Amino acid sequence: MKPSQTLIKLGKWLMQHGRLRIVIADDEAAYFNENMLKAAKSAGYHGIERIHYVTQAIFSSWLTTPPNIVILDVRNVCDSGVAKDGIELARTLLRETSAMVAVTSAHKWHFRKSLPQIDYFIEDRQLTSTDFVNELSAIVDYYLSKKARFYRHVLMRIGVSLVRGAMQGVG
Amino acid sequence: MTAPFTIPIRVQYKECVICPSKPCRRTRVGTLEVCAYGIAFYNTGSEILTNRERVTTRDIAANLRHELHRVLMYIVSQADEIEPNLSTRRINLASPSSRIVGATVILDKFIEMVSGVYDFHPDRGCSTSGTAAQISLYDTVRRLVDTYSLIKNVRRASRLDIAIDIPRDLAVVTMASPVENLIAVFTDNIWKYSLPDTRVVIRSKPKSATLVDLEFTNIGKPLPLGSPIFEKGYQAYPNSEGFGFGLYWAKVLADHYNDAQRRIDSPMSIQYGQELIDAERTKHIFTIENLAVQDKQ
Repeated sequence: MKPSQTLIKLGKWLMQHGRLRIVIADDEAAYFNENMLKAAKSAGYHGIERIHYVTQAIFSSWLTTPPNIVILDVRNVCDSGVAKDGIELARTLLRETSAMVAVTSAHKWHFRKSLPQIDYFIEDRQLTSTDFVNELSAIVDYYLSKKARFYRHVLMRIGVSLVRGAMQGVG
Repeated sequence: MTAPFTIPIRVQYKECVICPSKPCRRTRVGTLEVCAYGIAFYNTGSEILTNRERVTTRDIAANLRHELHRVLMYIVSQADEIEPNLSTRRINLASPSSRIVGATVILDKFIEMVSGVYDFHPDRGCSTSGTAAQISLYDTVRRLVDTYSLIKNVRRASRLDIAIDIPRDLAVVTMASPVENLIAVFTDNIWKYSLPDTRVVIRSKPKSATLVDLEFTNIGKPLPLGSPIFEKGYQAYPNSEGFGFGLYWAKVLADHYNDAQRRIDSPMSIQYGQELIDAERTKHIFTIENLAVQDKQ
């Protein structure tokens, strides 16, 4: 049985209009590359900003208008005036803002001491576009269920469940 | 009789490079202590001194991982452009692009093993990626069996008849990533050490509602009795395909798994036994005992 295209379209339309602001900061171009972002967009995740570096200006803007979700690399991701590394930046964001913070690093030991304070870490660094969309979907699920109040992002919630329901109904 | 001459040993103290955060720098001047990374250091006030090697093999391996990983990711991204819908978590042996991705997975696992990152693997209690947090045991075994079949040479096995007898709804839920690496060691060994045209059985045996034994049975050359197969660097035969690192690594991973999960009752353990068939062939049975599982949600 094919998934209902109408339901999927409707779900994605709702996701687009109930969009979450997701910012990804990673200095390496190969990670979170253009293909991945395109795949995420076509899966309904609009509103993704991809930056390579967190400057003081960007950081200040996050403090006043925090993104819903921030995905951060650990090394070489921000000005030294902002934070020592991605982990310290993540801690600051968690303390000062309502953003959900996910971190990613090629070195898993970066997470050793900081895990209890960080919402989520992306364990697999090596991702294809499909893997990235799955990962993003898990991150958004976490955000909607743990970080956002139940009455927030209603369109996003309905959209996600419509698309997922239609896909799961296949076969 | 002359007195034995002595060689003066001068310890050279150098600046520590083990961790980027350097909490030792925040200690008081004159502190002589052992840090969280197990390194003895002395804070002179202007620098942190340690008698540790400036760059250890482990540091080199960890940095190598950092350097190589971006190259691997670049290869994955290019394969992804050639063929959409590829996944590092699903290897399609019929697709060249998927095989390229599979080869990068093998390299990544190898680098991970060499760098020993799992000494530092995070404890439980963190939310991890959806797929990694709850991996299907069957899918993981299937994927790794296929992935490691990509490497071919005259010593590795060919034409294996592989049966995977694991319920599809079983999932590994805690510390999925080290468990995946454990399975990778045993599946790679199956390809390394089985005789051609033989049967391999990988099956789970339930122990309780939340524990299974995962058993890998293959047919290979007999090992001398009492062979220290889990010792680092042990090779049963001079021309052995492996370097004696994988099984040692498996033990390290299991220890870490128990330690991180504070598993006192029913700890995970790695067992090995062989059942001799004749002078040339034996059944090798490796078991990951007490693997925590639950039904897939």
